[in-house]
Amino acid sequence: MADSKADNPLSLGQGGADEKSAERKWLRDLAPFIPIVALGVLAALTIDGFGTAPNLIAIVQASAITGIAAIGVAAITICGKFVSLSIEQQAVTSAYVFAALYSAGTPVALAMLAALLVSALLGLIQGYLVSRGLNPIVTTLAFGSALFGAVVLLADNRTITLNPNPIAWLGGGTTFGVPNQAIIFLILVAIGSFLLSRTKIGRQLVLTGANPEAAELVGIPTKRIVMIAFVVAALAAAIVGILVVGQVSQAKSDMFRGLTIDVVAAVLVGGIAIQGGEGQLWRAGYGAIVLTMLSNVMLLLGVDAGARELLKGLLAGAVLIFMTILRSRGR
Amino acid sequence: MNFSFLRDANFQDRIAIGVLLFIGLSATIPGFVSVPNAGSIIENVGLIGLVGTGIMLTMVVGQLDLAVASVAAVSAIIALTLAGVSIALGIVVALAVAGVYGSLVGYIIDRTGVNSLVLTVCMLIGLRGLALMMTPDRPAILPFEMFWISDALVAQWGPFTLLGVICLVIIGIVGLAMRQTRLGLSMYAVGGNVERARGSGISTTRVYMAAFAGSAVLGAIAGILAALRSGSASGLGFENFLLAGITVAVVGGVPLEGGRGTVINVLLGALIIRLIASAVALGGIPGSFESIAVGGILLAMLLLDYGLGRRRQAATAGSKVASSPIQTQQ
Repeated sequence: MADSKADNPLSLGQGGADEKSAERKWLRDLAPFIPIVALGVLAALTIDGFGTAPNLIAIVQASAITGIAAIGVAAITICGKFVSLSIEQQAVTSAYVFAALYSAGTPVALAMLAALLVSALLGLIQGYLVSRGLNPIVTTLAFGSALFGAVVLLADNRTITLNPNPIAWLGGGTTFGVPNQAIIFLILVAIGSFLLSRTKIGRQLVLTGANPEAAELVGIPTKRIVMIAFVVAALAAAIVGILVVGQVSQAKSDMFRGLTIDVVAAVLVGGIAIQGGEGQLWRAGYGAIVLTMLSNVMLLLGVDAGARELLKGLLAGAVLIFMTILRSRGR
Repeated sequence: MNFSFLRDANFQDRIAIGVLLFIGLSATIPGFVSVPNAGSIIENVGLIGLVGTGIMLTMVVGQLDLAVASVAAVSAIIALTLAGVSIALGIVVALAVAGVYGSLVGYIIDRTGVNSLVLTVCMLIGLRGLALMMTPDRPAILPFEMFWISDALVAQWGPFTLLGVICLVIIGIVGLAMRQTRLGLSMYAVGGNVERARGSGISTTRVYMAAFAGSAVLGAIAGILAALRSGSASGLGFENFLLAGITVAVVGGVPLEGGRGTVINVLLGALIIRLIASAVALGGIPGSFESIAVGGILLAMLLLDYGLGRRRQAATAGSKVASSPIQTQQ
């Protein structure tokens, strides 16, 4: 029940798992795919123009922004610290830093680097606080509020417009017909997945989430790992901030309204175990695609925005409850 | 009447902060000490205190409800939409919906062991969608002939308004119920140590259902009152309830680990926050400063509680601290 964090997912990988739990694991791995396959087949059969290449590319493009931010947040989830609620504010901050520096005459590359560094530093501060045992959700909520207030205050709540926009090709351009944002999304998913499964730090991240006490005992610097996870999430949010400035040529205080919510929903719908210690990074990106596809289908069907949000919440909740039940039965 | 809370260190700290803040602000901001300003502060302390008290209920049982703002929006829209038929009916239906929804969330949390923060984030998203669905073109509006309700709610009797008094009375009743009823005491027991509470025969199902229903209903009351005051409720409204409610509860000294928390301290937390907000509004400081202040205060309080917790832990070294689902492992 309430002590579900106490069980040890490490035991899953230690072999000797009986057939029944192997079957459950198989079911659990596959469960998140059921909605998208059902939805895809249904949509392709019933809606004209859904299954065409341009529409499918448009879905990947639209999910790129949420997806990039979500794979960053997935690092936090996998290391056992749930999610960050300051993604929106982090993205706005880096958008402003980039746009303001570029407008002031800084070279593009330097402005980008500065935006990434500022964001990494903000992530590091939050990661430090959380690694000392502060509640991640409440800490990031508070930090996000203070950060947003500070950015709006410093920017005097003005919109910064880039004219000319040096990175329009990055935010809005295409390569061989594929949107560059989508390419960056896929590259980041590939890099992230590789880091998580093939490097020492990646495996330490998973172990920290699976069982922090055990991880500490075998000499993993769990506090540092948590800080790294928050820096990764902050960098992903910064990339999102820069890409969207490239796309819309502006930095505005409300440009990322709703991003945090979409990111949390994507992580959940993708089927990353919220207790941490399990799950692959691509699942968060996959969750973003599912949600965008769902929105796309409902848009084509003429369903209004409120109903789309309602369904998003219900779907995320359903996947969460389903995963929790499977997990507690699998023990 | 039991006055033991006067000796509570948390209570004394908060009174001291409140008094110092009040003296400082009255000395520096012209027009701060005035009957209308006091009325506005008390009224808003009541409203945000209601939300904070609701969140406190879930924190006391060792969980956390993040969906209050969306619940407030949905309830307020239901109440104002049905006001065309009868405002009483609207309020009753809205509160009933909130109560049933909250009980269901509590039931699911008890039965599945799902993490309450994450589940209520899903509810936050879904209910916000529902609120937008119910107001597709324009906000729900109180019928013109009922505007006397808004006037009555904000009419001043000295430093009090009807709205403020209603909020304070409801908060008082919740506070008494927490201390005087079996259910209230069971909530503290479950938050303190789930296993021990179960062992002594307490039904966690009832406790979780009561906590989340209470949080949803109190959030709904705050939403409805705020909507009646302004005469309208929009699908995007009340978003600030979440941060304000959590801040008020944490500043009010309710620990995230559960098992403790009193409405008096939550009210003092609300007072501290509203004194600052009122100073921001009166002093001509940009509004964005308020979110810096609220976020900063919340962070400072989290750090303070963390520091105090560590000192306490060091003092009782060796004794194992009960874990709760929202307290993440270090």
